[in-house]
Amino acid sequence: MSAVAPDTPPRGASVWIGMAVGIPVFAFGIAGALVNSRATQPVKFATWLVGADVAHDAIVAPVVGLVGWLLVRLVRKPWRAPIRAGLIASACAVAVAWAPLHGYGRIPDNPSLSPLDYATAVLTAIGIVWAVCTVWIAVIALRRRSAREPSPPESLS
Amino acid sequence: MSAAQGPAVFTSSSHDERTASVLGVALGVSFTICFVTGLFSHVAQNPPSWFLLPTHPVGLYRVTQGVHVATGIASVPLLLAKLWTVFPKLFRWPPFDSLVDAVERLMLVPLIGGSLLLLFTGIANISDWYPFPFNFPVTHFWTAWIVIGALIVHIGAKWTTSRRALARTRVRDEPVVERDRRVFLATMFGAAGAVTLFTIGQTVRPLQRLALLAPRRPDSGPQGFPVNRTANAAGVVTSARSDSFRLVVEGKVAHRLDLSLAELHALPTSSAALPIACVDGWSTSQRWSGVRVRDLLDMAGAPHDARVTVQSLQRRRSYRTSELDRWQAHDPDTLLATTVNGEPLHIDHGYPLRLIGPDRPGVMQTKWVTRLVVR
Repeated sequence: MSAVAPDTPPRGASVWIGMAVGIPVFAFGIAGALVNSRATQPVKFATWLVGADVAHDAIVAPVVGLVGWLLVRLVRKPWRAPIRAGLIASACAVAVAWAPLHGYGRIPDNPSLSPLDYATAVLTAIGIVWAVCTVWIAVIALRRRSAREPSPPESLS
Repeated sequence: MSAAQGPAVFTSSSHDERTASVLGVALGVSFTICFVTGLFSHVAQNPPSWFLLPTHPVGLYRVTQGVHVATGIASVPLLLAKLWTVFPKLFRWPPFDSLVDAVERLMLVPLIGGSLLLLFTGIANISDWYPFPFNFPVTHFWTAWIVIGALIVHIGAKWTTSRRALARTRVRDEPVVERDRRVFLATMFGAAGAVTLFTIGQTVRPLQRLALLAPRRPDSGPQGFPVNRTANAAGVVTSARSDSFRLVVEGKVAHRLDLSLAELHALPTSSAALPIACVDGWSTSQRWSGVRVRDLLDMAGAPHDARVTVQSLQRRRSYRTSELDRWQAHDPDTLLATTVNGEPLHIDHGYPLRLIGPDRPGVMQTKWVTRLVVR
C-alpha cells in the first residue's frame, strides 16, 4: 500500500481549448433538448440524467465495492483475478440482456423480437464465460505446480 | 504507485491515473465512433436539404449502424470500469480548488449521467423496451450532443494528466502493481469482447448462434428474417389483403398512375440482393424482386430529378411514409418489391408491396406501399 498522491488540478492550454470547443457543443445539445421539449420532456429527462448519476454512485458502485471486498476476503490472491473476471463478465451479460431476459418489449404477435428463451441463452453465455475462467484457473494451477514456489505474499487488490 | 485522490480505502491499481487514462482513451474512441455513426443515421433519416443518401455501397448503412450498436454495447463494461476507477474522486475534499476545476467537475454530472443514459436507452431501444418518459430517437440524439460536449471539456481538462500517466515508463511502478493493472484492464476489455461476441451475431450472420444476449436473430421471423412492426400492429391486415388495393403514382407527374395488383404484376420486374438494416443494429441481406421505382416514374412522366414520398397503407404512428431523394429514387436497385427469395412477401414483410432500396435505414424501407407522391 502506498500513500495517496494529490490529484492534479486541470491545467495547460488544453483546458481552455476543451472548454472553448466543448461548452458550445454541450450548449447546442441542451438547446436542442429544450427546443424539442415535447419529445424530450426536459424536466423528466433531467431527472433521469441526474438519476443515472445517483443510481450509479449510490447503488452500482457500492455493490461492486461490496462484492470486491468479499472477494478479497474469501478468495486467495492467485485465484482472485479469474473469479473476478467471471463475475464482471457475467454481470455485464445480464445487464446487456436485461430487457429480453425480463421479457420487456416483447409483443405477442411478433415472435421475431426476442426470439430465444433468454434464461437459457444468458446462462449459456455465462457458462461459456466461466469455462474460459476455469481454463484460466487451470493455467494458474499448472504454473504454480511447475514453478514449485510458495505463493506470493498476500496483498490487497 | 500513484492513486487518484480519495479516501485511502481505495488502494488498488484499478483506481490509479494510468488505468483511468487507458479506459478514458478507449471510451473516447468508442463514444466518437458511436457519435459519428449516430449522426450518419440521423441525417439518413432526417436529411438536411444539402444531403443525398449515397446508394453505394449498398451495405454502408448496415455497417455503420451495426458498428453503432455493437460499439455502444461494448462500451458498457468500459464505462462501468472507468467509473469504478475514478469512483474515489467522488469523495474528494474540498470538492474543487478553483473555478476551472469547479466547472470541469460540474460537467461530470451531464457527462456521466448522459453517458449512462445513452447506453441504457440505446440498449433498451434495441429490445423495443421504452421504460422512460421521453421519445427515444430525439432524446438519444440530443443527449449525444450534450455528452460529446461534456466529453470534449473533460478531455481538455485531463489531457496533461493522462498524457503523463500514459507516457510514464513502467519503471516507476512496482511489478506487482503493473501486473494487477494489466489484469484489471484485460478483464474489462475481455468483458467488452464477451458482450460483443454474444450480440454481434444479430448482424454478422456466421456468429448468429452466439447471439445469446441479442434481442434479434437475423434468421428468425417469417420467411427467415425479422420483423419490426407486424401488419397487425400497423393495423393494415384488411387493407393489405383487400381486392381493391391500388398503387397510385401522383404529384409532379405527366400522367397519374393508378394500378391494380394484376397490372403491377404485368410490369417488367427487376431483382436485387439488398440488406434490411434496422436502426436497432440487426441486419440481414435478402434477394428482392419487383418493379423499379424509376420505371414507374418514367411511366408517369416524372422529371429526372424527382424526389418521392412513399406512403404506406398504415394510417397512424410514425414511419408510415419515407422519402426517396433523387439519387435513391432513380437507383436501379430501388424497388417496390413483391417477392423475397422467390416467394410472395409475407404480410408482416409488407405484402403486397414494399419499398426496398440500397443503403437505407430499415425504418425507411416502407411496407404496404400504396402511394408514391412525386415532388
